[in-house]
Amino acid sequence: MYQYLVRRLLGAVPLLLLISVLLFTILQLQPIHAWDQLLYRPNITAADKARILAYYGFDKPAPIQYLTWLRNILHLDLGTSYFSHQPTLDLVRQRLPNTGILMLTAYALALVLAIPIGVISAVKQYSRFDNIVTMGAFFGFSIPNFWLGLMLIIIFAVIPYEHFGFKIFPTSGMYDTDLAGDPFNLAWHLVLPAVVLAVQFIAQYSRFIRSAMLDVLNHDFIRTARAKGLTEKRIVVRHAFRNALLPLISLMGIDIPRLFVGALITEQVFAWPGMGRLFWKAANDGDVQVLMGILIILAVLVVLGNLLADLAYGWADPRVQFKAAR
Amino acid sequence: MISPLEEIEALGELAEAPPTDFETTKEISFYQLALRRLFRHRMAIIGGVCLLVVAAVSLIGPILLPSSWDQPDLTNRFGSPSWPHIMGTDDLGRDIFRRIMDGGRVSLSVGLLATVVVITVGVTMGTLAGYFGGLIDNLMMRFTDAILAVPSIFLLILLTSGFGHTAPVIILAIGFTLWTDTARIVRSVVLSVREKEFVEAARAVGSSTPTIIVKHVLINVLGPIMVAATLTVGIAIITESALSYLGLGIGPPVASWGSMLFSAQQFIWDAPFFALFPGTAIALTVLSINFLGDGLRDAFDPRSIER
Repeated sequence: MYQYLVRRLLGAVPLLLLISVLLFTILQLQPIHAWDQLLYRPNITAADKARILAYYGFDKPAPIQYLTWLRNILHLDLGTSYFSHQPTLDLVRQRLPNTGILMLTAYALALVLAIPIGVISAVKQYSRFDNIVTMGAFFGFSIPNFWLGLMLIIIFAVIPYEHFGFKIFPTSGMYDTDLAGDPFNLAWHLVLPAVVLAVQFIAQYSRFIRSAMLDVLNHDFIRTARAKGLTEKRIVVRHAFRNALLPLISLMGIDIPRLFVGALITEQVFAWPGMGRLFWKAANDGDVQVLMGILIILAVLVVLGNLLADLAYGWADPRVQFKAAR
Repeated sequence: MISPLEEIEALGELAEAPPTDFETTKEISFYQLALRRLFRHRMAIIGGVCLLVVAAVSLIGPILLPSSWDQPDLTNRFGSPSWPHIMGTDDLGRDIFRRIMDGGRVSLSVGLLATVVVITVGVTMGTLAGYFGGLIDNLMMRFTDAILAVPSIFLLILLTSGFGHTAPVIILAIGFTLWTDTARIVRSVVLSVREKEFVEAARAVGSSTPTIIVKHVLINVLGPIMVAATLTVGIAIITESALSYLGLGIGPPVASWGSMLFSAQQFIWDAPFFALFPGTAIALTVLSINFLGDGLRDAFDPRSIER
C-alpha cells in the first residue's frame, strides 16, 4: 500500500505541473495584464515604468517568469499581492479556514439529510415519499444557489425585519462585530450559507444513494439474508446500506471541486470572508500572484482529496487491493 | 456546475440491432422508437413546452411592449408589481418583465452557443481518444484531469477577467471549462462501440477510417450526445447566470438574468420582489431543460425498451 501511495503522489507531480503551465499560459495570453494597473499613474516616466516592470520581473521572457515562479513555489513562496503587499500564503492562511468551516458544515448537513432520504426512497421505491423526493431533487438541481440564497435572505431577514423589527438569521459575515470569535454567534451566521451550499448536494446525493441502494438490494446476498429470516430493518441497515455507501466514497472525492465552486458563490451571497471572495477580488484587481497562488493551492487540495478518497475506498472495501504497478 | 451526467455512460449499449415494433409489425429505427418514447414521457413534454414558451416570449415579447419601458424612468423606481408593470420596475425605473425577456434572449443564446462549443470540442476529442487510443487518449485524459482539478467557476473567473466580459469570450470560456464531461462520456461509448462486429465488418469491406467513424461509430453515439447536449444547455445557463451574478458576465446595459440578480441584491432591503422574478426565470428554464434531458435519457435507455 505504501508503494501505491508513493506512486500516486509521484503521479500527482506532473499533473500539477501541467495545471500550472496551463494557468500560466492563460495568464500570458490575456490582453489585460496586471501591470496595466500598476503602471496606470499620472506623470509616470518611462524610466519609472521600466523600473516597475523590472522589479516584478515582467521584463523577462515568459518561460523565465514561469521558472522563477516555479522555483519560488518550491520554497513555499507563492508571491506577494501587488495591492496589499501581503504574501499570498498569508492571505490564503487567513481565508482557507473560513471556507473550510462553511464547506464542512454544508457537506455534513448534506450527508446527514441525503443518506436517510436516499435509503428510504430506495426501500419504498415508487411510494409517495419517493415521488416527492424525485421532484424535490429536480428542483434542487435546477435552482441556482445564489438565487436560493437571496430568497432565504428575503424570507428570514427582510420580511421579519419589516414586520417585526428583527432578523431571524443574519445575512452577512461570520460574526457580529462585538462578538468576534464566539462559536454560537458563528453557528447562527452559518445557518443560511450552509443550507444554500448543501441543497444541491442533498439533491444529488439522495438520488445517488437511492440508485446505489436499489442496485445492492437486487444482489443475491440480500435474498440469502431474507431467506435466513432476518428482519427487513437488519437487512437494509446491516447488509444493503453498508454496501451502498461504497460508491459514495468515490463520489465524495470527485465532488471536491464542486464544493469549492458552491462555496465561492455562497460566500459572495453572504459576504462570507473566505477563499472565494479573496479570489474574486484578486480577479477584479488583476492580482496575478494571488490568483495563481490560490489556483495552485486548490489544485493540490483537489488532487490530495481524490487520493484520500481512493485510499478510503480501499480501506472500506476489502476486495480492493493496492497493487504496485510495474 | 451541476453535472447529473453520470448515468449517461450506461447508454453505451445502443449499438445493438434495432428492435422491432411488433404492434405495427413494421420495422422502425431505434431513433424513431426513442422519439415515440420521448413523446410518451409526460414531464419531458411539459418541460419542452415550457421551454418553447420561454423562448417564444423572450423573442416576441420585446417587440410587442413599448420600447420606452426599457428606458430609465427615475420617477418610477422600485415600482411594486402592478398593472401595466406586472413584475414591477427596477432601480432605474425600467420594466422588469421587459428586462427578463431581453435577459432570456441573452441567457438562452449563450447557453445554446456554449453547448455548441462543448459538443463540438467534446465529441471530437472523445471520439479521437476513444477510437485511436494510445498516445492521443493518454494526452486527452491528462488534459481533462488538469481542467477538472481546477474548480470550474475559478477557471471561468480567470478567463473572463483577463479576456474581457464580452459574449464571445464568455461562450468560449464556458465551452472550454465544460467540454471534459462530454468528452469522457463520448470516449467511453466509442470505446465499446469500436469493438462491435459491424465496425469490424466495415473495416473488412475496406471502408476508410473517417467513414467508419462518421457512419458507423458516431451514429451510435448520437443518443448519449443528445442527452449530454440537453443537460449541458442547462448547466451553461446556470453557469452564465452565476458569472453575471458575480459581476463578471456580459455587463450592463445588456440585461441578463444573473446581472439582474446582482443588482437585486444591492437593493434587497428596498425592493425584495426585484430578486424574485429573474431567479424564477432561471429556475423555470433549467428545470424544463432537466426534465427534457431526463425524458431523453429514458427514451434512449435500451434497458427499458418494451417489446
